Amino acid sequence: MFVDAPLGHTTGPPGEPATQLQLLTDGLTAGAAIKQSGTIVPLPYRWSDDEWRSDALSWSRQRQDQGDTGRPPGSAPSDTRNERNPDPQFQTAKDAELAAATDWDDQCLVCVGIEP
Amino acid sequence: MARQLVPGRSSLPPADYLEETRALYNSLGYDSYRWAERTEVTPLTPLSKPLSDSKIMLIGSGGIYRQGQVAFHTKDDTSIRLIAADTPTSELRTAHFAYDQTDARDDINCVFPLERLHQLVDQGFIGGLTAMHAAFMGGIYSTRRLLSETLPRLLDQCQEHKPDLVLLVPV
Repeated sequence: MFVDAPLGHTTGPPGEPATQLQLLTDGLTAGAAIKQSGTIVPLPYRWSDDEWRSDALSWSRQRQDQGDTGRPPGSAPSDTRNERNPDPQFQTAKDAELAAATDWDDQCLVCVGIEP
Repeated sequence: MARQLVPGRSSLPPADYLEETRALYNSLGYDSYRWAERTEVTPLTPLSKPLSDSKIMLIGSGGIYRQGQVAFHTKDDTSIRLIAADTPTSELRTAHFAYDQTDARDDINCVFPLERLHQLVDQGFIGGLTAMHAAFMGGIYSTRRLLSETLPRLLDQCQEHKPDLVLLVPV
């Protein structure tokens, strides 16, 4: 199933449950009907404007403008890729506290492939 | 920008991420990025029963984790997170480096539609959900490690929870 939307919206736009449900319903129906390996089915939806598609990675430059890529200030100004970091990238500081408080044996049951 | 998906098809071709990535690498003086190419064809396994009788497992590549779990890191993290079917949406998080997470963090159903799948069960459109679902960090640059580490972990979960259908949501 191909969804013609900006990265990060594979199953629909935020706060639009009816659209998300319709997309899933259409996608599952089309997927179940496939008869041949490698079939690509474009779903009949488009993003409400086309501006994003001519510069689809512009969000990474915006992040850099905000000094938000994890790179040291002033380094490699044309490199808009985010720094790749071997430490867990918690969404919030509270998440980090809660993970630290989780018993390691319990953690291993739901996080497969991590080490203390 | 209005963040909406509307019926119809764009008159323009899909966004050309390959060309944008090539241009970025060239501008930085790197060799061209080498994408993995899969030439072998995986045989199709048809769904064995109607969707309304099928049990579905959700697997998302958007770096989704549950509050209380260790978040993904962004340097070839090949681990996976198990997400129980009854996890409240308010406890789902994202950790990823290769997409704008703003909307997903506002509404996780953009990349991990667990809440919507529950609604489809309630409507009778699908038969049910497995007890556990899974998520991983899709930004793994080593194809070898993806195939030898991440995929076996996901396969183990599929074999344990025995869905009729796996809904893969790439991000």
